[in-house]
Amino acid sequence: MPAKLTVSGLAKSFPNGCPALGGVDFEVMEGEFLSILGPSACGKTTLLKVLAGLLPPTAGEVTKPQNASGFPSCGMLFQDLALFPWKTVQENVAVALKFKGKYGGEQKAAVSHYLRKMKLGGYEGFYPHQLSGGMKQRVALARIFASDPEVMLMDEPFGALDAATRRLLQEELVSLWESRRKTVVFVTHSITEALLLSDRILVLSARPGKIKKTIQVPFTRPRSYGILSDCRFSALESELWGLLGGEVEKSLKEAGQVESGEAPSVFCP
Amino acid sequence: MTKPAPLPPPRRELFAARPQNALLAFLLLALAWEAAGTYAARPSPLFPVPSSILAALYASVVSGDLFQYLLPTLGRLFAGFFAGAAAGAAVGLLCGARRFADSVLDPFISAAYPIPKAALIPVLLLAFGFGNALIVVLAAVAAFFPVAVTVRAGYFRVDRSLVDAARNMGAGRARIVCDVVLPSVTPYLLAGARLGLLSAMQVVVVAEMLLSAKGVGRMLWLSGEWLRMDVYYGYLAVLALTGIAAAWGLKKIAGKLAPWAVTDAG
Repeated sequence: MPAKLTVSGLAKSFPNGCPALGGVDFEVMEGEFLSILGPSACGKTTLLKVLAGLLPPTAGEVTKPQNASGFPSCGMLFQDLALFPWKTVQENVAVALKFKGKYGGEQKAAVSHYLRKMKLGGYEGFYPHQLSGGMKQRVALARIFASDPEVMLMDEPFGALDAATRRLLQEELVSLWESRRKTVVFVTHSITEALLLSDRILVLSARPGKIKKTIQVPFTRPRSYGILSDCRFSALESELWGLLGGEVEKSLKEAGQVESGEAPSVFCP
Repeated sequence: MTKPAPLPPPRRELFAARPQNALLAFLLLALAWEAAGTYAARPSPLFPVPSSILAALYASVVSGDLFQYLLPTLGRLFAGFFAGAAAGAAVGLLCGARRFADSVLDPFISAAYPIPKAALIPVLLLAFGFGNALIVVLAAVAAFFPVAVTVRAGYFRVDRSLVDAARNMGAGRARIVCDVVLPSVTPYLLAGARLGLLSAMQVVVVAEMLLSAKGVGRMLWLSGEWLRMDVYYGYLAVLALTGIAAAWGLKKIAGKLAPWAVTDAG
């Protein structure tokens, strides 16, 4: 399978000289679901923003897919969703297509297809402030799938949800993705989420972020929450927790603060 | 497919949730005033009873005085307000968009804002002479500042991640201005416009009093001189109602222009 996205020697420092990413190399294959797992403040969001073309890298290179149809090659789903408050659900889903000046019958059909898929039928005329958190999340997902970018970048999209809604949306994302098989780079700090969704997981170290380990996820697709009872799941989970736990401690020590990390209850589902 | 739930109720009503409460309190106050004025041993000429105020107002409507004095005031007010608000919006946007412009203009705006606009009457009088032009300019100056300041503040509060999202979707500079910045600023513009309209109204009335220009301000002055306090309070009530009507109108416009942020538009 050809590499869709190649990142080599990517480093990023902020204008104040503070290093966020310290030389990252990886490839994302066509149709791969890659998760990036790391402690908070390790530069995960910065990495995605560089990939999305919103921040220039300090050093290194990103080779992105070229798309003849002119759609954004790396579409991003933002952590805070970035729904336009003055646009209705329908308009928010269609906006990326409209910005590209291509909004004909085919695009309209795609918009209503994903609105239906995300169970938003009937809510097309609502404004974001009239929706629950989970529904806003669905709008953002429908938007990125409808805009059909070559690569989807997702920045902790489920971070702010309650456990039940989160689980439901993870399952919906898995099934939506399994029907489309788009290339995805998914940033998260949840081990369970990374194992459930991805083909491969990159574990980042504390700031400045570097790749600490790459883990292949062995579970077959289609997947469901059933894999939580798989014995390989708990083995991978404790391995990842071991990798991540040390980094969380390091990042907290550096920041001189103590926060509650991932709840340990994820070990005993 | 799930059925859409009914629309949640609007977050806040146009006026206080129960306007009847304020109305009832107002009526009780008027009745008490009426009773006190009617049965007092020595009624004060400064406080004529509400019924006589209503009668004076009615007489003013019948004779056509009310409209003769109210219309010029409204004309000056709205001419000045729209000009000043437009200029204020332009300057506010400029300050938001250009750091250099902001570094030059903002100190001037901050310095000039607290100056009472009526203090400009002497210089404007020399520049424009007696007449409508002076009062319109004064109203424009009064409306300019609140709009400029709120629009500038609104510009700085444009959500960065919406701008990033638009860029990621391939929007150019013009698209970002039209589709992200202007909608973000609209609620601030409307809130500033409401403040600007009210300060323009105050300064128009003051100018009419000082300059003997035919208008509500002039009528207030005259009724004081002639000790017609019933007429005086009648016209004060007209001013209050004009202010309420204008605020209500702006709120309606806000509901049309920015339905997602009616509460933010004040």
